[in-house]
Amino acid sequence: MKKILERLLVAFILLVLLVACGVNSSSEQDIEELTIPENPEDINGDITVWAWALEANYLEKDVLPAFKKIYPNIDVTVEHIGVDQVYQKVSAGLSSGGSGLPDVVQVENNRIQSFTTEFPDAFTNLSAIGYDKHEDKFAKAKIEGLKDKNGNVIAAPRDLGPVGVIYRVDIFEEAGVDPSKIETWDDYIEAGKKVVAHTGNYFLGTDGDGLLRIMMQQQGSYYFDNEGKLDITSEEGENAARILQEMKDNNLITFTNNWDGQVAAMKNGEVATNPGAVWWSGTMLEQMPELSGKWDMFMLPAFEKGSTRASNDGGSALAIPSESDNKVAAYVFTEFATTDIDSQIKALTNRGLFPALTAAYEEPIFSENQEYFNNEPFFQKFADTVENIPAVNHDGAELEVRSVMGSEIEAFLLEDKKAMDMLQDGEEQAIQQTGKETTE
Amino acid sequence: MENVSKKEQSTLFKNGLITPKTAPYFFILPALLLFLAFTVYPIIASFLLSFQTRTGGVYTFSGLDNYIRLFSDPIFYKALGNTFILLIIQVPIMLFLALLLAVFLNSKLLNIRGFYRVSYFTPAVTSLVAASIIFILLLNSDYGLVNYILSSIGIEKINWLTNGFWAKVSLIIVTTWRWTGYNMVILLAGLQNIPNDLYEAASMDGASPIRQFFHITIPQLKPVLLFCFVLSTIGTFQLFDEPYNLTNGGPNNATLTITYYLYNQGFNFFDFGYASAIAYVIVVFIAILSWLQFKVVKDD
Repeated sequence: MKKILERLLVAFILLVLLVACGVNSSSEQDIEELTIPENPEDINGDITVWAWALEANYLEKDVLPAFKKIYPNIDVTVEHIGVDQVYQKVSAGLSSGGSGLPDVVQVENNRIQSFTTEFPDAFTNLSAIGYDKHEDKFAKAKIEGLKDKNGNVIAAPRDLGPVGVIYRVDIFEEAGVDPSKIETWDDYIEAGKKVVAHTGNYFLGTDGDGLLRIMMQQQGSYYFDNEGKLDITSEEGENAARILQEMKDNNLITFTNNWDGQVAAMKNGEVATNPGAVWWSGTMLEQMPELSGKWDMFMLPAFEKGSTRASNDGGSALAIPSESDNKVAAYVFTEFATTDIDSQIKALTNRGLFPALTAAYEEPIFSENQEYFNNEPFFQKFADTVENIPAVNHDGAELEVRSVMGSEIEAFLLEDKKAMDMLQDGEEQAIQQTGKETTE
Repeated sequence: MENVSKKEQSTLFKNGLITPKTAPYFFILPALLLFLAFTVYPIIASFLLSFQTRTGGVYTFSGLDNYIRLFSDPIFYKALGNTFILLIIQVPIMLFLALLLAVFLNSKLLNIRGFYRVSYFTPAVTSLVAASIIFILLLNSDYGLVNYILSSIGIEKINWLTNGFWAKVSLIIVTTWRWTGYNMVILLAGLQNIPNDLYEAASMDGASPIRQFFHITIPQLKPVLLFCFVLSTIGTFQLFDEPYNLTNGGPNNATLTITYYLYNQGFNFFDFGYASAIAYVIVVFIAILSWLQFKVVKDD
């Protein structure tokens, strides 16, 4: 009996070893030809979509009814899943060779490369199915970040996060600061000193490394260079660190800890500005209706007079996992949800999601004055910056480096670390974490 | 029917496969198979994984790379340090409180003991996500109740969640809140197994209740206390929900525990090889600490 058991155990261990070693096969995939039937009614089948929060609501309530009218024979199920769960389920699904994944999935721009680095065949090449004809319709900074190494689009752009400085009109007036005179970050700091002397509060708050990333992208630089090497201590990084240090030395900036803290700081008037993306408007309308008419925006201050005053923060896209068994239906849904102008407008008005589809900017909603935002054409002001947003490289190691820099920003704001040391330590830390080389 | 099964039986018996001696093994076979598939296999697979890294979607064997990286990783040491601070400070406080509560709730003088027992045990079965939201509100430095009470007695506001030191204190408070009742119940069961005549005899000899506590209760409870210590040590090494919900491991990794770090590497950064290496280091630590605890108690 003992022998039988022993044999069983040995056989089992061998099996385990075989399975463990056998997983690494088949990274090559056949290039498949997909043709989209001309008559929309010829396409049928069921597809499942994974998305979260506003985007899930958008896909289900704004896109689906219009989509159904054109493609009556496709059944779409939008599953509302939390953002963390989506990523965990997708990475688990890809690890096990693509099983259990949906036909369409929402992915953020800054996440897509971490999937494609780990799983090169994760998502369907959309250019091959015909998405290349839409390429020119999108903001360049957006679509460039959704291509694989061969220049093929692997996810369809949805929303964008153009950045400006959202500020309190009433506080600026009381402090006697003219926002139209703020052209550079140095001007911004001077204005901040005046406002802070007047209010006794802070000028801006941050809950992470967002502002640093915004400032680096503004200068066309990022945590990575175009080859994917670490480039945190670049000249652009140092420019940003110098400004951040000055903000801190003058007590202009406060650490708001997390999302809720940042929202509370804006709502309570603890901060007078928020250099942030346009999607803040959704949260502001929803959570601070009493501040209606008191907010407006001015363009991001430049590092030098005349240089770029645009940047981006966030935004997501729709991708089709390679293992989808109804790619034709998945593709037409993705194409419709990302290129139909009426839907993009609904996303903006109903959900506050700013479209990456530049053709949508011609629609009246953009030029309309927004009551909440000081009766100004708030969205137009952001739309005007879109063409100037520099494209940067969101590498596969983005999340590791962001996590490192997030901690470094906390050390800088809470533990008196110098901003320059923060860059230096952050880069060393990032080398250690990612095993990447640095530029030079 | 009967004939067929008899036939089968006889062939199995003839081959000597089923004898009264081997029969029990066949009875435990289903459980054994499940154990192999869901316990042994993952253990072996993750051990192998800890020697691999994935580049371009393919796992390749990389020897001790993950372990070498681990032992030169400052964040790993920080997480390990945080975990040990919790272990050294939080576990004794919690077990001491649990013991006190257990003794009080075991007292015959107390009315509605059942009510108290349930209330102290409730946190252990409460959803921590819901509880954390309450704690985050209570501990908010600007409008939280805790700082409000402190300020009303003239103590300056404390940045409970945004200061590295106080964030650790907050984490200790929440962990203690959650797990004291759980340990209390275990200790209570232990207390009820101590024969009453020991106390009676001690009272006859004139021993005070405090003396009885130290000379009867604690020695009698030793195995149960040891059990709680080992359990809490393992629990501390696996501490994840509390920092994840309360502080996200921040500020500046001040509340990053070792399991949280493992989670980040595995499920945020998809570095499962490195995460497996961390897992094996945790296993080794738990094994050593448990062994030490048994040893200390035995030598006593």
